[in-house]
Amino acid sequence: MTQSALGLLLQTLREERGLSLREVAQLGDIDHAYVYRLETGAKESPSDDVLSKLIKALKAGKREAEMLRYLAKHAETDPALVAHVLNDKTVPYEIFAAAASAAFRGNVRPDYAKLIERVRRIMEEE
Amino acid sequence: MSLDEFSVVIKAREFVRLVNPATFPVTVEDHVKQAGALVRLETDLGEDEPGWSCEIKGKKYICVNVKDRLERQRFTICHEVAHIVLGLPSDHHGSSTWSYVKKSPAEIFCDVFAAELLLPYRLFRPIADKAVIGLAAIDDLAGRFVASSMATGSRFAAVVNAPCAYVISEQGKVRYASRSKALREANAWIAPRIEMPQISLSARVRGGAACNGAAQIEAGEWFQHWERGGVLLEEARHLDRLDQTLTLLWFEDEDIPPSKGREWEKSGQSEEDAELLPELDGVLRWPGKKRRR
Repeated sequence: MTQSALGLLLQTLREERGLSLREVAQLGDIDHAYVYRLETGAKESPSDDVLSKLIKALKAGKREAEMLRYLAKHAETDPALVAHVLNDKTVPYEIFAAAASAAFRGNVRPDYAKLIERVRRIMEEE
Repeated sequence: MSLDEFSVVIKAREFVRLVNPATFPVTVEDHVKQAGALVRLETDLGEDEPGWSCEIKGKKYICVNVKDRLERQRFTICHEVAHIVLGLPSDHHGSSTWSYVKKSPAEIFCDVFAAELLLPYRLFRPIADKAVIGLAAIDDLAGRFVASSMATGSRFAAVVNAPCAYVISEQGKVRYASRSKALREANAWIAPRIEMPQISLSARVRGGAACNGAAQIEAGEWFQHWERGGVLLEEARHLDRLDQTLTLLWFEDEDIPPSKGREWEKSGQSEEDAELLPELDGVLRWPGKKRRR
């Protein structure tokens, strides 16, 4: 099973805090099997309530919390974009969301750095 | 994905009704406005990047490659309008390099939607139906609607009454075939990825021969498992730079040969005389009507 963008972000945040699945589940008062399924991509769209518990348990920052909320509603988002944004702390949530919403005609895709640069330029010019 | 091509066409026609273009070429800016988007002409897109769209803080932007021909820009804009209206995201990594059949359903649906916007059925069909079939007619329509020959040819074959097909081939292999309703109903199937028939005008034109008007070819050369016989007329054009061949096929006098399974009907022979079983129609011949409940 392919890991979803939401699953990748949840797993990254959990590992950054050095928590096991059971520990996150305990902190958030959530079924640990459900957290596992979210991380692996078997489940994709947690409720607002569960998401809020996860954000609190993981002590997610503002940007990451907004990304989690976005990804819970946009399961089709590319995990590679999330990985890129996690590595580049200068990318704010608004630019992440705009890049995640991009649709293209044709087969060629810009790499994520270029896509983010293009989104930034639009934001500056408009 | 719950969409299919038919529902995309319905949604596109509903959208066109809202914009209500009265004349052609249609003003694509009206479609953009209806979709609540803004167009940006971009100078830094590569040759293979016709355009893209995104949403920033609730505002939708359509970015178009300013270096593309006007016809391509217009189609790109309509394609991106489709992404917005249908709410279809793009695949993460694009589709395969050349095959239309491997194109993602979302991209095909957006192309279908775009063609409906650029060449609206209500404006396009009456003119296309009156045209004398040939590549010259498609060129003329493409010019009048400011659309590409490929988009216009595909649309032409899809909407006219005459039994015709417009085939786009790349590197000598069929990439996509648009068939008229008459050909679809007759199961005249042109399989994607097959080689263009060696004896076809299209193959000869690709080899460097000139196309001096329509050539004749057995229908079975192009259509898969075709048993009706008949002769097609064929016109072709080859675009060297892209190694792309555009082919128009049609039956002369607009008549598709009848199905061989029904020839006994035409000849006036009885079914027994012709020693042919009647074509299956779903009605049980046994037991007799009296014994059926």
